Parts: sequence; structure tokens; C-alpha cells
Amino acid sequence: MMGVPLVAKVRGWLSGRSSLEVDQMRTSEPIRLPEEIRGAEGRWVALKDGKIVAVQDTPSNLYAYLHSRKVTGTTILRVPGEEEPELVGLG
Amino acid sequence: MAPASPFPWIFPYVEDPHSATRYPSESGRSVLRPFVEVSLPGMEQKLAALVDSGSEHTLVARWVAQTVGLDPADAVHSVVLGISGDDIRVDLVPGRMRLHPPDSDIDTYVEWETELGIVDRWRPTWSVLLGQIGFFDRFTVSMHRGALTCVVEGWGKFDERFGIRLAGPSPPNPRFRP
Repeated sequence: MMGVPLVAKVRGWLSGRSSLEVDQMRTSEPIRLPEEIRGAEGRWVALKDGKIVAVQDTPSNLYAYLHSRKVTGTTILRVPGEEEPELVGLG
Repeated sequence: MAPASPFPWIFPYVEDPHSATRYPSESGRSVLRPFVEVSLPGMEQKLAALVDSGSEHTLVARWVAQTVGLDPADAVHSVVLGISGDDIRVDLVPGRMRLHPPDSDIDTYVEWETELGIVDRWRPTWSVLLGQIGFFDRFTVSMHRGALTCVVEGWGKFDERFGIRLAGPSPPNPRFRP
């Protein structure tokens, strides 16, 4: 049987959790948008299963485009431009 | 609709594209945002929504309101908000919001009534901003930069976790089945 790694044990001691609990914890990685967004800066994209399924200049056009093709359940957002400022809240 | 999985719903942070180029001297640094996926009744698509504990209101872009037929003329309040250095009048209309669990389809969600602010001049890449009224008054929301996650749980979970009695009347439970 594999022992609990020392790093996990130390993390467990520091956090007050048992080393077994820490060993079973998972790490989280941020979601990164697909590389295909490059070239779509400033436009609105529909994402599904980690892939771009449609790109349009406005969200209304994108929504209508998806409706016309009976595509549902995508996630809509705009791709920021490279020179666009880092927005806080509503910017 | 499909029944939603029980809470907690764990949403990984989402990286802001190109944000790493803003910090060229700090390798690996990028802008990571607490996003969840929402929709309004009648919508066929989900919307990226920023969880913003610093906002009093839940706000939607004008195009979203138009898509589902929310009319600013139905506003129960109007407030002036400071946005982008300007004073912007925002109409608050009664509406409904749906939160979708991670990796779910459009038919899986919890839904609740709230007031929604319709904003004309909308700059962000996300189309909805979830604030104190309309989101934080419905759920226990936990965010942790170390874990890079935003976790949504039931309204009363905060009380159980920290032993702090919740003030005011409990809101109606969001409906898992409309």
C-alpha cells in the first residue's frame, strides 16, 4: 500500500485535517478558453463543451444565429480585445 | 427540465483571455474571475455571469432584457449607479433568474424571483453581474483564490458553518423544478 506523501502529511498537519483527508482532496484548475478565441477579439462567441460553436459581432446576432440553427445550451460571452482594459465590475 | 444535482455547486474560476500579457514581469500571472452560468426564463442559451459581492444589484445587459421581453417601463425602481465614471440611471424590473450547475445543459437549473437592473451601456465581456440583491440574498456563496473556485450552496448553509444567525426573513427557496 502506498504511503501518504510527506507533503500531504505536512499540509494536513498545518490545516488541522488528517493526512488521509488531504490525500483525498482534489486541486482546482481555472477554466481556460480555447485557443480558437484568438482572432475573435471584440466579438461574441458561443461556447459548448470547451469549443466555439459560433461567432458573431453582436450578442443579438449570435443569439439569433444559434436559434436559426436550433443550437441550444451554449454559453455566451464576448472575447476581450488585447488592448482592452482590465475591467472591474461593470468597468 | 432535468433535476439539478444537490449543492454544493463548484465553479472553477475562468481565466480572462490575454490577461497574462498585462503582467509581463510576473510569469504565470493572469486575471481569474469567478464566473457562473445563468439564464433568464425563455432563453435558449446560457450567459457567463460575474459573481460580484461588491455590487448591491444584479444587473443585466440591455440585449439580455430585450431577448426575454423585460421592459424598462415595468421598473419598480430606478437608481443612479456610478459606472465607468458616469452617472447611469438603471431601471430595476421584477424578473426571474436561473443558475445552472457546472457542465449542465440549459434545462438544468434553480430559479428564483428577483429584481434585475437593465443597463444600456454595457462594456464587460460577461452579460450578467450577480450582486447582493438577486444572488447573495439567495445562496451562500464562497470564493477562495487559493482554491480558484466559487462555491454556491443553500441559503442556510452559512448559519450551519459559522453559527451566525441569518438576519431577516428567509427568502423562498429557489425552485429546482419550475
